[in-house]
Amino acid sequence: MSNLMEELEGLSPWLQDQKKRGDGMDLPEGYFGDFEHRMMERLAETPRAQKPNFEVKAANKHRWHIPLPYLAAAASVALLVAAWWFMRPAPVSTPISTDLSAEDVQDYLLDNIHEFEVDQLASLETESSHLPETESTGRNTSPLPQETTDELHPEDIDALLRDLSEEELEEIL
Amino acid sequence: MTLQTSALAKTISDEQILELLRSEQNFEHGFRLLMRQYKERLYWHIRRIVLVHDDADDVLQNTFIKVYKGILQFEGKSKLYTWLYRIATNEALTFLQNQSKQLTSSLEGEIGTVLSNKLRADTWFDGDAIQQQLQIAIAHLPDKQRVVFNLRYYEEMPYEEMAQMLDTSVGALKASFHHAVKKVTATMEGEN
Repeated sequence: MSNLMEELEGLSPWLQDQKKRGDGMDLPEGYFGDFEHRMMERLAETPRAQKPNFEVKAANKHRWHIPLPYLAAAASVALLVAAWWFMRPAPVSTPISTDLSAEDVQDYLLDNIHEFEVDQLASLETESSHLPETESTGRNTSPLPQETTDELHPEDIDALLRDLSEEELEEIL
Repeated sequence: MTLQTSALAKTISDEQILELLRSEQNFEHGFRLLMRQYKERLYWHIRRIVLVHDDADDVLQNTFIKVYKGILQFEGKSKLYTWLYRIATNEALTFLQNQSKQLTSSLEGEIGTVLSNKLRADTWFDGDAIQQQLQIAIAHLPDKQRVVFNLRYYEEMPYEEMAQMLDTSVGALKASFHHAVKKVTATMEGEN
């Protein structure tokens, strides 16, 4: 007697008897022979199993690899630009600056610096100096400390340009 | 190839099948052998859950498609047939749940009711009234009890294998089977 029959003997003699009679389930003739054929037809339209592709991840890693000298050069340029921005004589204040952050202005100026003439920058500085404090600073209404030594006026620039030789001017530009 | 495949199918081990499946060139041959080895066992396992032949055929096909798509991710942590049985069981139970949602969303014990109705209409069931009542009584068991009852009563699967397959302890499975036997017997005694 199998383990199951022994188990059922005490539990349910009725199920033990019934087990010998089968379950009454039938299926079409040749079903299993035909099944394999039908299944292969269906599988032909199904994407095949894929191995976990670790190589792809490795390839992706290399795709973004940038040579070290290029990274160093990019970092140096970024540092120089940042140093120039923070150590420049006086911040350029324009009416636009009320809506833009310092970073926005910096980006804009750096991207478009070739479009500005020296006198244009100077006139922007002059206009901003006539703006009411509330408009020019927006959030900060406290008076800014006067920086007379670094102020640049059109007259100063004209005088400076007159003093420069053509060679010096070319060198600067 | 059929004679060769047929001869191999009788002696080939799971490890040999998996070896064939890992090779690009032999994948199809390996999959045919896998189907040949397991289609009947899986069919009967599924059929006893869904009861009706046409549904069992659908679920068996879906099971093999899942296997086809995922066989290379099988890590060999369990036996191959345990993994296949698990997929087949999940597919069969999901199939029944979807059917019961579609047909009788408001009735209680919906799966049992759906199965009873379908079994009565199935042309591939030729059992007598008592065999039909027994299938209906089993169909009214909760999902897990029904699976445990079928695996033990019809397939005579040892509890240890069942524990691996269903990720449960042997003690819990024995209790589940004994409880199911009592319920089914009580139902049948009430019917007759």
